[in-house]
Amino acid sequence: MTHVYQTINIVLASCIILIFIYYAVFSPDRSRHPIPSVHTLITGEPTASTGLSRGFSAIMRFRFDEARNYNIYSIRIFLFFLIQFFVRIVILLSGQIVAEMGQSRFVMLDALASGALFIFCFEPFLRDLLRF
Amino acid sequence: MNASSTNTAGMGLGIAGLVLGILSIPFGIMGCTFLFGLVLAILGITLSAVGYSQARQANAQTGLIIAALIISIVGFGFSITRMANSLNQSQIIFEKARDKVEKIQENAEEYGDKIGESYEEAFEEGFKSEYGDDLEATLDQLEKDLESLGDEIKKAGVDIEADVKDFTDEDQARKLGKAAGRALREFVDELNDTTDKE
Repeated sequence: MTHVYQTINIVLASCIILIFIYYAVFSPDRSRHPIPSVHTLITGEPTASTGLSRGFSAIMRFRFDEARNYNIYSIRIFLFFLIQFFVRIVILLSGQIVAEMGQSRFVMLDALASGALFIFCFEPFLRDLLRF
Repeated sequence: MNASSTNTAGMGLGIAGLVLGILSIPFGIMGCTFLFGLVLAILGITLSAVGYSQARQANAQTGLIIAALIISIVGFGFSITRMANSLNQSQIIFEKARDKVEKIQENAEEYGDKIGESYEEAFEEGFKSEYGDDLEATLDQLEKDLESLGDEIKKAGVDIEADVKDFTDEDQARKLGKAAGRALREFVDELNDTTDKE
């Protein structure tokens, strides 16, 4: 596997770990996440992603029912990041398989699968975004 | 010049741009974090553009860098669309709130007028029961009486002025002034007593 593809996977896996650490640090009960909901600040109205931060924090504490109450899509979005994290780790560890398959083909497959998973998991938000 | 370093010119920036672009997409889509996504996308575009320029100058591979640029632009597009959506919604909410406030003001004015009218009617009813006559007619008569009283006072003032001019004795003038002042004070005191009793 080339250095470039390895680097990209390492950086993405690190970013996902940082996201998990962020939500593990801040509790869902007090709702003091530093990054505020800009849409709610501007409009005063909730959006499809309202409660997602609290949902993630609840998932990090294995409180899945509570996470669903905060935001019904929280588990779905969290699974997306979790799957992506494991895929990055697996790709890093299975350099031989990538080399045998041909890197270009593998990268294309990775991009398509990740894109499809993204569209599936974020479909409610995409619908909300494109509804004007 | 080293061939391998030439081939990877701009690659570091391209990788950074790609990662930032990939991260900007999910953050840009969500209403809560679209500003964060916008910042990531702008950084991704900038780094990718600089990396592309470096790669072109060094005749290095640009495939990854172009992919990074495209993904960052997509993330930028999502963030901008979400921002426009939020601003549009805030404008709609503001206009609805303004319409509601205007309606409340109209209703308050209408209610205030109705309250005023009912108080006025109650006052007139109480007045009529005590005084025995219509308030408006009484006020008209009172106005006429005050006007004629005003005319008489004016006339008396003119007469007094004329009399004062004929005085040869300073003491007489002083006595007349005292009498006029006393009469006016008594009149005012009587008027105040009547008002206080009511």
